[in-house]
Amino acid sequence: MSTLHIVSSSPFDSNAFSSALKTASQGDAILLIENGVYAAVDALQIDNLMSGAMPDITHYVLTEDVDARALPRLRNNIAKVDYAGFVALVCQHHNSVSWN
Amino acid sequence: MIISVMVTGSPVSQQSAQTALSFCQAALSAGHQIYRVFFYEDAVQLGSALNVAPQDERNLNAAWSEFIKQYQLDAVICVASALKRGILNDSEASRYQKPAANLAEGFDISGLGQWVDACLNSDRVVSFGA
Repeated sequence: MSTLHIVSSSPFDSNAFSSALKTASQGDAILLIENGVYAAVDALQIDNLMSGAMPDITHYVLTEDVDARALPRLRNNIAKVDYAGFVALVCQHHNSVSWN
Repeated sequence: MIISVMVTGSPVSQQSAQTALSFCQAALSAGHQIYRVFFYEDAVQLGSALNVAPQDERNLNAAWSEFIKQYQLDAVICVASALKRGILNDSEASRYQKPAANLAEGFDISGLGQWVDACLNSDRVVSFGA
């Protein structure tokens, strides 16, 4: 029973991303959407948040929201998906949790 | 798969109603079925037929309304959230003796039980908004 954690708030505004990292268990995935995509940037603050997180969690980011914010450089352990990929991720996991 | 969607974010100050619409469109394109879209809290504003969008902005109310009509979706607006925000259908307007009703075409006003029913009858549920 895997869970898709959908994070829609910036890690600089809320604890949504940290909470998702703490809650996710093996086989889960985290999808960053809306302002949550700021957790996909290649930055020291994000590395610090990620240290100590479960290793077997796949990270995804919604391309449309990355492009809308013109984010320059994403961390390399994250996969880009479009809305079709978003739907596929929802179907691949048994549950979804939305973190704001 | 059978999917239901809950939308809670305000259409005028948050992105979630836009995200939810794009998600629903992608789900239908992929051949999935949408059992119900449930609008709750500030998202009930999408059910107003009286909002006017600036000419240079996307009219999200119209976009949702057209999408719901095009695919004959079951779109439910939470009655408690709706009444507090002045979204009324004819029967609620007459029950509370209000001068007019403003529920947009394609939407129904009902209770949270409809969301429980959607959870029971769907393979997947996804929530959008704060």
